[in-house]
Amino acid sequence: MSDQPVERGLFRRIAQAIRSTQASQFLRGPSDGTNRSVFSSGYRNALKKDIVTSGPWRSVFARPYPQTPKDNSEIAITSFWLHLHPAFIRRETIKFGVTYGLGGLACGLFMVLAVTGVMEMFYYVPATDHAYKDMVDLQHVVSLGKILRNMHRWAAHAMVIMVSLHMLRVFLQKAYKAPRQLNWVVGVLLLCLTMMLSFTGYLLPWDQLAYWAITVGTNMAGSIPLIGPKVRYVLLGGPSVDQATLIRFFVLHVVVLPIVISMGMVYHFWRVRKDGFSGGK
Amino acid sequence: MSAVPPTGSSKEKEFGLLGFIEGHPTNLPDPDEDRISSYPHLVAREFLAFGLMLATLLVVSFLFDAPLEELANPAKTPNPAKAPWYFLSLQEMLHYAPPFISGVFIPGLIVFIMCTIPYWKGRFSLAPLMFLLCAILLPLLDGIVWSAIHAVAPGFADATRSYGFPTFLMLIASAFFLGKLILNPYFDDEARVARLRTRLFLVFVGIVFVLVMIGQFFRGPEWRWVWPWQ
Repeated sequence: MSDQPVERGLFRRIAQAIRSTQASQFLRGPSDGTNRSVFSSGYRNALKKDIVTSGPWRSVFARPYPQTPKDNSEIAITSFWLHLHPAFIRRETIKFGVTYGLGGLACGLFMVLAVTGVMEMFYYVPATDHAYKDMVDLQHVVSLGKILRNMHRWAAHAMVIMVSLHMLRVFLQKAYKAPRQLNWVVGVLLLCLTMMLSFTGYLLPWDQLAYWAITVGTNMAGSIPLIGPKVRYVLLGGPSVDQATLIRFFVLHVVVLPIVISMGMVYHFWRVRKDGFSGGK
Repeated sequence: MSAVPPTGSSKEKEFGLLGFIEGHPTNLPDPDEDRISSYPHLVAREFLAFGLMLATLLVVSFLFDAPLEELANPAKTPNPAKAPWYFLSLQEMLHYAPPFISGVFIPGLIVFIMCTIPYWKGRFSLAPLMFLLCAILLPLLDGIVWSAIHAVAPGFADATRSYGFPTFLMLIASAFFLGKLILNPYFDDEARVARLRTRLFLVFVGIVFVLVMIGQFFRGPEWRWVWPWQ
């Protein structure tokens, strides 16, 4: 391409650029018996080469699609989306039976919950005269609304189970030992945050189940000697579960706790990488 | 013609070799380990696991509907009003001990003990697990001990009920008991300690699981015991 003189005129330049792509050069190649149709594998490979060496692709991915072992080892470090991973990992540790993928699945469930939760927020209004109606609408009027709500609910239960099992797994493998002590503590707090997220979401449908579960839960806080009634008042925003409670739990559920748990997760993952192996003795 | 300094002169010497240490540098990966690049081996597994999880979740969501009861009504208390399942162990304990003990103090204590687990060394690593077991059993014992105190001194028992007096009494007693147990020469063996540690934690998890199951399936109106088929 570069050894040819640059054509003058816009259309001629465009035509030259198209002619010089790997794909069109493959199509115009010598008819030596190879299949030169647009459905051939040779054409596909040429097109792939064109795409991964193009300006836009390279600006996004910094380097062509990884094809060699060297590329594979470098992409974990150079790619933003993959930089959580080390470049190399022991073959033993990625076996399913080592971790059962529990922590990763909990993280995946959190992502599902974030997406389905945001989609639910397009329909849900946190007002006592509105919330329940919105839930019924979501079940019966909104297209796939029932599936959306089911996914959010079951993923929430599954996340509590996954985080608990993850903690059990880490304990039984003694993976909390030095140098990972602090990460165990962060993990325990993340389990508490997961339960709090689930609990604050419990009130939002404003049905009987929600109302009385929250009443029972906040009555426990009200039983602390001396400061109990004050704590309960702060949680509820009043003497009983009402509009003030709904908006408090809503803001905690969709803004405060997700941000806190996200930052906690980021720190948890970062520490896993930085702390290294805990001999597990 | 410039003078060439003799080799080994002090001007050229910039470093010295103090000695060799046998083994492998600690800050580099062990070359003998069987290592593979995380891309694509680990990344592909992650995507596969996420895809399977999402597919399972979709199937479950199509098959089972999330519960939605009637509109909240402050005038109509359901009987029993159950907490979410992961708090049912607390609600079950609420049945035995005053709310502050079973709803605030014991859960807080359990979270605190959990956080300290990695910081106990040797035979003392048994201590947090024994405390965990004590903490989960305390509300049950609280009910029994309180009844005993009530039989002897009803006035005192009633006055201190909401502060969980028996619980604190037993907490102190169990600390003495645990101290004696851990100082037992039996626990000089690290393997024994490790085995017991695992078993204690499994018993703790088992008790929590049983309490959740009881709360979910065996509790009816007034928190009375009911069989699932009743």
